[in-house]
Amino acid sequence: MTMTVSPTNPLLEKLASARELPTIPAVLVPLLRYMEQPSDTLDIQQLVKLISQDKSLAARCLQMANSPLFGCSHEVETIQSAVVALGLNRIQEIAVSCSLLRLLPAVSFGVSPSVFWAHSLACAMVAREFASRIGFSDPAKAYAAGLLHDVGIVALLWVSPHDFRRSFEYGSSRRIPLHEAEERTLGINHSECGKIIATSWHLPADLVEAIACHHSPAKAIGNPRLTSIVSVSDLLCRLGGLGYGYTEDKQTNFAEEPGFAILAAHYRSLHPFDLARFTFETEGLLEEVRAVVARVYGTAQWA
Amino acid sequence: MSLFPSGAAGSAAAAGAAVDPLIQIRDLIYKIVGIFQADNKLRLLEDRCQKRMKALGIPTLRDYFDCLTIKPIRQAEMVSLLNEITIGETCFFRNPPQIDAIRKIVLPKIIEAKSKLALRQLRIWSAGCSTGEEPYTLAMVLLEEQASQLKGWTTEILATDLNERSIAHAKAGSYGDYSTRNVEPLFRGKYFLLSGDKLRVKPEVQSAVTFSRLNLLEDARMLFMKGVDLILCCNVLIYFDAVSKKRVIQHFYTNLLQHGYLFLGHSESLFGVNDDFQLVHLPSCTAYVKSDKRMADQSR
Repeated sequence: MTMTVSPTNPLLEKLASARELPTIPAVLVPLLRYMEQPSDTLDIQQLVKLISQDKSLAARCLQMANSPLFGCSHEVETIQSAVVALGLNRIQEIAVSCSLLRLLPAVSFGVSPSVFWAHSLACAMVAREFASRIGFSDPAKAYAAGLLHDVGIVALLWVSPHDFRRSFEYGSSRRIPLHEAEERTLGINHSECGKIIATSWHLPADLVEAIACHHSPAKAIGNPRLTSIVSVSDLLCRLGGLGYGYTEDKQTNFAEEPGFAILAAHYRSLHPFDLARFTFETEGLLEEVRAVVARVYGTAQWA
Repeated sequence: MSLFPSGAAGSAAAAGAAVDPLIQIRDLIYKIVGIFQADNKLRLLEDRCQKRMKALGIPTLRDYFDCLTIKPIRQAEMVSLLNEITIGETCFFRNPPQIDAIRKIVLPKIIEAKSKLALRQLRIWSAGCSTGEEPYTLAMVLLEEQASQLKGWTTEILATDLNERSIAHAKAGSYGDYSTRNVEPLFRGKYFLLSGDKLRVKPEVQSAVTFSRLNLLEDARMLFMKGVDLILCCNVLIYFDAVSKKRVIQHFYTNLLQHGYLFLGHSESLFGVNDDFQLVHLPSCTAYVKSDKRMADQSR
């Protein structure tokens, strides 16, 4: 996909020219780079040091590591022991997830920050699991893409909080998907904003594409499977009650969803696929995400 | 315990002795009866298994898994375990997401489809209604909608069960605290009368439901259940063997109108039972609709 942005909307123009776009949390850069590397080439001590020296990040990571969501069989008290108990990949996922919190404002912006984080975390977990079920080669990448898929909301909020709140209220009062509400009220949606910020952060091209196209996976040309996994996972989370804090009154037939259709064309494992069972499993997972977010972040209004 | 421990379905069983017997029991229940216990409900499932193990004098979960698979009592034991799993589930407003989805999404879709046919009549069937909480809940939901989206519509709720005593209880319409624990105060005042220490559904609710005894496996009578818009069959099919289940689902498919919906119980699935119905996702619940593919085949 092309990395250049040609804004045609005043908000996108504002975003593209904004000198003070939110910067990527410093710790995320090496963490995402590590996630691109094969595990056996990673310097474990370097990773442990990176996380441990950031006290608040380390504390949150340990809370997550000790939650049922990641499932340490015994309580761990240091990042080093968490790596031993859960493995490098899980610790990277946890650290990336906690780093995302750095981007969020402290107060509600229509969507409460904890709801936003819960949705991102849930999408990451579901994307990773769905990816491995269907045979996608890089479930860790699916996790990262799921976690970051909505950074466009952060960007939109940064340049125009008033506009974001307006579209959020439009969507929540009509119970329609947020990206549709944004399109109707602002003429763009957060995935377009996400493309700008993700590009400015120099994220890997397939992550930028997943962020840019998760509401229009047919437009993804670089790694359409990754984008489609995120698209399907995002929808499963929103339908399962972990969206943006309100219920979307819609009926979805996944067989007709573009993302699902793209994956169905690639993977034999989807013929047939027990989506009912996967949905029930996801419901259980979403409950655990709510619980861990409440513990790590504080309680929130779920819907 | 981590989430999604069993990985790809089936891989757990293949791994053999190292697999957690509780996961094996969960997967076995899903395979045989189609009801799924998510990972965060596994502790509850373990409690239910422990109850049965105590009754049978079985020491370990692995022995109990054997009891559910290879012992001669396996079928009877599966029924006993299912009774433990579904115990106490019957109550008014049992599954709020399902009720919300019916009111906000399903009814408008049915109304839209039927308006095109100029048919202002709605037919709902609670198949396996037990002691009547489900059909009476539906009656209250429809009464609430009578002034708005169902204005000018005739509605009919058919409620059937195999058990005569359950039907008699349902017809009496009198319920204790446990059954009515989810009823909001507004609905309690509007649709119930206090009768001693019980709550009795008001006559307008009672008259909205027609109860009768029906065996879902009785083909001749199933054929008469025609022109239905919406079927609810919750925690009933789990007691049927694979062949019977397929037969009942095939009947439901025929009983439903083209735009019709089938709702099963929470975490119940038709995977591997029927390919004609299509799974649809609604907010925090799922349902089945007739697939276009089958209709296209029929019209050829």
